[in-house]
Amino acid sequence: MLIIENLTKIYDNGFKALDNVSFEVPDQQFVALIGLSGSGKSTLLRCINRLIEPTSGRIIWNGQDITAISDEEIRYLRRRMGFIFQQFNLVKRSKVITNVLSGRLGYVNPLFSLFNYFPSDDHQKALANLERVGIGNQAYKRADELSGGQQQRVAIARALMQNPELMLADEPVASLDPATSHGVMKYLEDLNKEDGLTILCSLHFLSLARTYADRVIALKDGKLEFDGSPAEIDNARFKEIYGEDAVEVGIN
Amino acid sequence: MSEKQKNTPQEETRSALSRLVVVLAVAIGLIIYSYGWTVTEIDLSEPQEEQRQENVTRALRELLSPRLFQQEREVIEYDAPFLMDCTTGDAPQQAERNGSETIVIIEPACSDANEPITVQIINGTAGADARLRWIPPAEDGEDPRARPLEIIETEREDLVLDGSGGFTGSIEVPRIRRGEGQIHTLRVLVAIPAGQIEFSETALIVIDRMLQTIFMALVATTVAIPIASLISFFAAQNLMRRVRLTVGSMMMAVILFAVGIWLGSNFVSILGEWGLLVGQGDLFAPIGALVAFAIPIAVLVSVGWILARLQSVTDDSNSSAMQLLNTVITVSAVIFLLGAIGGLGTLGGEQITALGDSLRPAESDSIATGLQDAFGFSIWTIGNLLMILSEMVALFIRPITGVLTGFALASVGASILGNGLRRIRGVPSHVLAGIMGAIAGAILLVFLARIALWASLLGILPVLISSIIGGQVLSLIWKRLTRRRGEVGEIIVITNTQRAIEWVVFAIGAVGIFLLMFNTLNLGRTLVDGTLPPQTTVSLFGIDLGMTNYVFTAMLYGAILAGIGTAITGLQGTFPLGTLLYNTSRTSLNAVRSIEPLIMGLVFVIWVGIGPFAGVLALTLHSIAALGKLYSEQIENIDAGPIEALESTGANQLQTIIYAVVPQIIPPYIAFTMYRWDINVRMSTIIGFVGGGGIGLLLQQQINLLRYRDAGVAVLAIAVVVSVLDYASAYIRERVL
Repeated sequence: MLIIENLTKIYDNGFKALDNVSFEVPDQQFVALIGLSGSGKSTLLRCINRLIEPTSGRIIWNGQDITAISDEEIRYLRRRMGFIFQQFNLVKRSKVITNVLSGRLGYVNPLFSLFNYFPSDDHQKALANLERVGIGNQAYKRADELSGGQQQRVAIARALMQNPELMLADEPVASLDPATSHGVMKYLEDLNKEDGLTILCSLHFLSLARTYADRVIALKDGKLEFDGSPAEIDNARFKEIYGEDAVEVGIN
Repeated sequence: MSEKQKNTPQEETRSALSRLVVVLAVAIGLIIYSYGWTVTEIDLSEPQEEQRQENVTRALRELLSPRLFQQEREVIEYDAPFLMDCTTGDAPQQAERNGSETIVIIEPACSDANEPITVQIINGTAGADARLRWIPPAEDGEDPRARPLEIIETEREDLVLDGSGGFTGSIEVPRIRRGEGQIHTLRVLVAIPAGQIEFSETALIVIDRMLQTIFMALVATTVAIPIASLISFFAAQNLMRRVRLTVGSMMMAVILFAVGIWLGSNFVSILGEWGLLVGQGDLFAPIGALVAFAIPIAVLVSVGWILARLQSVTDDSNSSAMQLLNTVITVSAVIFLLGAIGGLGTLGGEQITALGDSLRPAESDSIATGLQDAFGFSIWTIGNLLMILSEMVALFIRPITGVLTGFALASVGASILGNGLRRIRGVPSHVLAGIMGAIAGAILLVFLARIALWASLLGILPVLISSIIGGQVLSLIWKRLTRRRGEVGEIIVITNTQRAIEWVVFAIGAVGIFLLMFNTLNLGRTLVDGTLPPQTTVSLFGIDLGMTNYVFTAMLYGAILAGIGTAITGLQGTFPLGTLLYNTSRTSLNAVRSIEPLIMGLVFVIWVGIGPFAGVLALTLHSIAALGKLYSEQIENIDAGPIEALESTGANQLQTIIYAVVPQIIPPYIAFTMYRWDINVRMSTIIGFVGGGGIGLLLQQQINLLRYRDAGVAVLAIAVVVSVLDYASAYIRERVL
């Protein structure tokens, strides 16, 4: 159970990215986060694993207040939260397998990991995860030799190495073409349905949210604008979220 | 629009005024620029003087005719007799022209001093150089002193035999005190090229020195790389901005670091010294050395193994006792191992140099023995390198141990006691923070004051640091007084005006403390006299504190200022450690970089003597600063995405750097290192001018001896090597980036 209570984030330049946002996410739900660019989706996701320090409010995960714990303790919590980025954020010059193994860094012996040593169990697991996202044969290529869709799948494999309970995804398909987008979203759906991961995923396209999400949360100017099932978003709601001039386009 | 076309009187005045300002600015600019031409003493009459033009032409001609090659010459002597003073006897019989033999004939064969006579060379070697010597008759078996003669009148300028090997010219009979009425000899030395054209001696020396120069640059660059890489991480703003600690952890880390340095350099370093002895084979030679070498490795591996097990079982941080034990074992093992490696290196180095020496043949006259000699020398060189590196380990084992123990103690202390400190809130937090801050401030200022005692200019250092702390303290107080404390959920936005006022408050505090401390320490006198700060020791209640007045006062300032500051923030306040490290490292890099390597070379020559070692040290120091800055800029340019991604996985900061930062910076690091090597070669060519060895030293000597043809060889070599390296490094950079 993830509980967001009155979460507010104001950046140093005075920009208010999140304004008193509150909601709860029960375990194993697939939540899509929608809203215009700059509506605070990325900030919200990054506050949950404290890549960004919230200004005020609380985030409670499995009964623990994430906003109150020390930097050392947040490291231990982060291990159970996968994070997938729009730009994949792979180390492009490193091998695919190294990128995947780096998802294990929170668990392994820090001293050995400095010399690129990982237990053989972790190697097996990395290969298995690459196999699972369909790129088992690319393990020893350099990450930047792969296509965009393949790179995002490497990123998913890296997140899976963490044994996550919660997967945070920040526009995971915004840099991909429609067909590849569905491929990546299917893997996320698979993680949600089969492995029982809770998924909080920000999306540009409402059509994707309608296809994959159990629930849609919409942000507008940092405020919670809508919270409900995808089916509830009719034309009027859509215009409330995206503004009067917006027209729904979709990926089919 | 129509209104605007008609200017009001005020507007006209203003535009006229602004035009006047522009004219004035241009005039002032022109004056300043012209002054530049005056100051640089640009004078066109001097270079037009005939003498100077002749000189420069000769110097340039010689520089552009480098003495690259030489050829051995066979010198053949031909004599002709000459009678000084015709009145004392008959003129001596000259050689007969009998066809093919080379002869020298003087005409007339007798005359007085200062009279012109004609010298004729017949049947010499065509095109050969010749010189004339006047040899007076020998006296009492003494070797006659030859005297070189100048041709006063000849068909050609220099004495070179013509196409048929002949020559005719006039000389003046020299005035010689003795030998009146005796037979003198005019000797003609004809030099005939013989043997093959080969590299001149100068060229060989230049090649030798050029190699020395290239290697000076190489050594300086390679030594600078690891140090500069380490510093570059601290000088990268994007990495350092996120490094923050609570005030409590920071103050404790400072105190523990100081304690660790003391413990490490006084006690733990004994382990390192044992390691040295064991490694050298002085303790349990020679099998003991290997065993002793293996033990700490085994300990390290097992500690790592235990750590790995513990971590996977509990999935949480280890117990305090376990952490402490681990740290103690690891630090001890590492120090002992370092010492052992150093000792072993010395031992091995000695063996290898001896082996290399024994491999070298007594004489190398053939290709085979030459190769053998080169092989033996290569082995010897490797042994020598090993010995120097080991010697460095032995030399630095105490400071290394101190710093390492300090870091270990600070980090383990922060993680053991940090959790406890975090729970302290309210008044006790402020009191405790004040006490810890005072201790930490005192330690910092004592350290700085010790450095300051070294030279009068450094005496300002504690004052500067104290004034920065003082400014911070005053702006902290100001913030406390003016900023409202937010309720839960309330948002306080800081305006730019507030920031500006806080900055002014900081400046007031800093300047105030600076002046106050400057006066208390009597630094004015120190700066004027150029002597060290007063060295009277302080005693309190009859007890000698063992520190000078200067150190004691600085310590008090540090304790009070830091104490107040930390008391205000409390243990839970944020300490921007990263920003502090960033500013410190950037400032030091810029300071060192601004000193020319030539000046550093001057100082190092005093320290280590004239020779390439001084040059290497100067180049290394400058390279560290320059590379540190270039490297850190590369770190600032990297893609931040992977850092974010790795932090999200729960990796710690060091792991994030190794996995997300290092792979991204390797290509630019290689490129900039090549670039630096290129620069170092160029710099090492001139560092010899201050005695730093390399080709510069040779060049300077040749210029001072006015041997421009030899200097030309050095200049040519520098030009060739620098341009070749320039292209090579450009090519490699292009490939890597």
